[in-house]
Amino acid sequence: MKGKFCLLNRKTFIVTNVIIGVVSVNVFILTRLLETSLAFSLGLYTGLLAGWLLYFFRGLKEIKRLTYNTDERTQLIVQKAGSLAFWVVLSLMALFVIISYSPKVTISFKSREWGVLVMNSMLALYGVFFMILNRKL
Amino acid sequence: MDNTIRELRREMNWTQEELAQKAHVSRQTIISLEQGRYDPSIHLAFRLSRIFGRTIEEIFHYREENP
Repeated sequence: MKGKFCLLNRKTFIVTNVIIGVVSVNVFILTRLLETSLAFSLGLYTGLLAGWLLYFFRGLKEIKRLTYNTDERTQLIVQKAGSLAFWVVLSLMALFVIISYSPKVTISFKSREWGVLVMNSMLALYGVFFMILNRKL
Repeated sequence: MDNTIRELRREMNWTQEELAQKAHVSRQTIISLEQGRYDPSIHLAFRLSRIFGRTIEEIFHYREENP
């Protein structure tokens, strides 16, 4: 792990915002091309917009305060939380697959339901582990 | 691993925020270090030793868990 961390400067802030903007436009085009349902598309746009606004205002604050919010400890927490979320979800999914193959269990999942389940549980677990580790470390 | 960061910081009359700025880390990291909850990387240990003008051994005291 490298010990050098840079303050968020104006250039990085602008470039990141441009990247998020390009991603947002692409997501918008993709949902149009794929003709996804209105509820799904609106959910996606809301999520993207919320993330973008969060980054934008947090970034503005960080540029003004000039503090090192992202340092090696944060990096460690991110790594550990990600790793923990991955292994917990993987273990649960493995268990779930075994259960779903049983003739006694009559639940069935569509591929997109699997996707949503994995994505949401991973995101939720990541958030939970991040908060726990942030208190412990 | 024990450390004397809090004592050294007080000797220098620095706040946690000031030390964090000098060490290029967040104030939360300084708090965690002082409470012994977080062991720093070798980079940060060297940076702190230079900031305080002490050797790493003077700041950090390694304790073997199974002697």
